[in-house]
Amino acid sequence: MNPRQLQVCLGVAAGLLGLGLFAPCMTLHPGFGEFTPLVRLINPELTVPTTYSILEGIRSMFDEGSVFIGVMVLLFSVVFPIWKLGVYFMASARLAAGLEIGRSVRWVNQLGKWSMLDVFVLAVLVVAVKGLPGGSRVAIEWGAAAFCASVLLSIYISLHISGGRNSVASEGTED
Amino acid sequence: MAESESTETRPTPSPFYYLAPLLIVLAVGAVFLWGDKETEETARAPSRKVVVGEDYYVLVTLMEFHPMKEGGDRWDAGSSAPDLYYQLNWHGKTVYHTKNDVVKNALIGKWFGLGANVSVIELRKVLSSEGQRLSPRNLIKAALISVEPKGELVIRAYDDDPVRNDFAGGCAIPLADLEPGDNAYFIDAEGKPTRDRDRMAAGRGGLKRFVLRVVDSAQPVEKLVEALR
Repeated sequence: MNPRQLQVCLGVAAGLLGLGLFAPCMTLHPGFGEFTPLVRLINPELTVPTTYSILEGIRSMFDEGSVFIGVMVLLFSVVFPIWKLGVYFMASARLAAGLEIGRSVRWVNQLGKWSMLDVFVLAVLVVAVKGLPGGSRVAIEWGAAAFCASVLLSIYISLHISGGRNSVASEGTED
Repeated sequence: MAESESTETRPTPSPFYYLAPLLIVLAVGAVFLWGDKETEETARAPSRKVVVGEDYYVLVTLMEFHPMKEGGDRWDAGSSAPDLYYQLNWHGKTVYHTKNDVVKNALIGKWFGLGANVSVIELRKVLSSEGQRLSPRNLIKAALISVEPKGELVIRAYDDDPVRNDFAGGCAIPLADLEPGDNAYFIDAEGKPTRDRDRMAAGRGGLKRFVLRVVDSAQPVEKLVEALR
């Protein structure tokens, strides 16, 4: 994959990440067991399905006082993926200019193992809410698929960036 | 060594590349939120007029009285606010009223299109499997009318009093002018309803404004419940 193709892939990954962060990620359908019809009559607001995007989920964590969890999810689901793509963009530009990819890529690859934390957090949230009693259920929306696609595409890109680095290293330009 | 020197002479890419994904993410977010806002505005925008020949549920969801009666008299003894209720007349008949759902001591009253008249004693009947049935149909608190080309709906507002109910004001609305959703009307200086808030009479007394909700009765029950609550 040449640097131009890498940049196109990175653009797609960034677009998917944007969709993953802003688009609906999951919808919570509250249930109250056998009393659901009665609750629907007395207070219909309680039974209205609520849809969250990842950013709305993070905001509600802050609103509810879960600052630590909110910061962690913000860092590893929003800040890190954007930074990682930024570093890869720069690396692809450097490769196109015939330069070495730079130290930042190594840092990103070191931290790469943390990037799956966002998928993990998402999975934990889904399992936690799915486990609620009373027939509450969670429907996964297309934003989650876009987010996962972005993560997978960025992993794929990282393999090619590393390949680019190795090839440059083999030419003796690696420090 | 010579190769590393030639590498150093090559121009370093612009730091803009670091920002590229952030800009793409923000652009996608902006487009997404803008589209979302537009969809919401479309949903909120008043839709087409009611269709002649179709049946609609109608109810007053909000009604406001002036602090004084028409003519400047007080509503009740002392400084008490009126007890609001209304009735809807169609074809000269009362098709719906809230005499059993009076809003006490208020200048603004709100009503909902759904409700169950179930007392705590009767709750057992509802909860038991063989008990009374509560279907969405008999929970609707609104008048069912059919839209005719020259049909009118008459709204009459009252202050509920133990001795004699005070008429607070009323008006006739041509049915064909209604729109599905909330229709806000303001009473002008001549006592006529207008959709123009600026023409609302300031110190006329009696009925000041009301919101008439119109809901297509042919909708599925879930949407009907959503629209009436």
